Amino acid sequence: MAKPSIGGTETRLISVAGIAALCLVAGFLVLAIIPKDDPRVSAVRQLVFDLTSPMLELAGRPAQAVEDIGNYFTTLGDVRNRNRELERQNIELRERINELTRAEFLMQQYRGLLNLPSEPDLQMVNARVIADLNSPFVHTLVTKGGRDRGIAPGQAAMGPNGLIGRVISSGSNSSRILLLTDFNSHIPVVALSSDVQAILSGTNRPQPELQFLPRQAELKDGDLLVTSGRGGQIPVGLPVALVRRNEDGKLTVQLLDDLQGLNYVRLVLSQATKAPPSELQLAPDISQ
Amino acid sequence: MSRFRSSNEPGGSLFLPYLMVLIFIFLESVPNDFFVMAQLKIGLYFAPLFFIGLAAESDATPAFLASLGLLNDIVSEMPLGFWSSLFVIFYLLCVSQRNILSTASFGSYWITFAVLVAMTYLSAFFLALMIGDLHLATVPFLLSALVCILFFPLLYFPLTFFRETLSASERN
Repeated sequence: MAKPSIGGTETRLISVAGIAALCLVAGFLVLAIIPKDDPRVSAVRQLVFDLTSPMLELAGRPAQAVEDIGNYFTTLGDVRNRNRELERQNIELRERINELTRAEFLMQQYRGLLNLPSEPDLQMVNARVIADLNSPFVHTLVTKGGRDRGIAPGQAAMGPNGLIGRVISSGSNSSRILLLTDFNSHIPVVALSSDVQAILSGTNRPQPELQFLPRQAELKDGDLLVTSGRGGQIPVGLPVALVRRNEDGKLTVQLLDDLQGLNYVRLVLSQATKAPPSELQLAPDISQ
Repeated sequence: MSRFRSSNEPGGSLFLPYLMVLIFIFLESVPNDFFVMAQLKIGLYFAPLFFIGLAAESDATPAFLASLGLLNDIVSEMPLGFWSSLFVIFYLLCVSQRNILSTASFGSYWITFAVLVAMTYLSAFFLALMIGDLHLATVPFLLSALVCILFFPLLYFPLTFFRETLSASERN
């Protein structure tokens, strides 16, 4: 390529450094021209993960085995403490179930009175995390299972305790999940106690932040943030995070799940709730 | 003559470094739960890239490395062209050190590697600044560079051993 022979002596049209410089220019051009969220690039990424998902799953087994061994060697004291903690949680949860049963009954009554559409049941599917793409630049996961299991872009992804992100693309046997901590993640949330609405935005740091918070909003330490369902993509009412107020009085957000080292996620298959009827539709017909 | 280069360049001696780069690109995405390591992308591929940069004679090497960088862009969810540019920058930096490292000891190699990795991460930092929607978490980024440098000896000795074994077998 770069070594044509002229008159028996070997000359070079371009040096290796020149080729490297050309490659560098090409790289910068690609970087400048092709946007990060180009759907064609996303499709290529999904295809690569579909093709390599068996290999990634295999490569993750040793790390999982090490973790399992670590869990096996927990001391008897740890097991006893854990058991005590679980028994305490069990009692609390039994009480909570009774409260929830009553709340569910009341909710149905109120919905009937207000003629509100019924909420669809959340259908979920478990998926194993096969690639953890958390880095200083991006925060995403790849899970095993895609369209073959009904997983589609836009669906909510849950950890053991709450929302962790949403599906951004799904292939034949793998899906990519954008985590709440990613800079491009923006989820509409509402504070359960005060009905204050805001957008939970990722910062590429472990804690996302609340944006578009009303000035007069009064959020207390420990307030639970749930999805508001605005935008119609993510179902309403999924727990997301707790509001924390630090010593300076500054609001911070503590996610309900640690997004590092997730082994399994639950994906919400059901469609988001339809928008409630407008006030005009709810108003009694006065023409009669 | 550099420890990585010999007068009779064995044909398959760069097979292992290329394979290692490919494996490490995918291995970086394997989930782990080991303390702070879970938050870092160590960039283990820089050690075999260093090896390639000091030893490769082929004109196609920059193109190969740019292709591997493109694969890394796809796998690590980065904008296309980010890692491919950085891989080529790292290669050019390595090429510039070939003569200096011709009779170097392991310590010199490690120090040179540390400087080159730091310069490449600095380039990544400025590249991220230039790309508007790429927000960088600085502390994990700096830690990633540090851990990458500390991991170098773990890969240097197996790579050198492989190369010397291959050279000896080809001579015989």
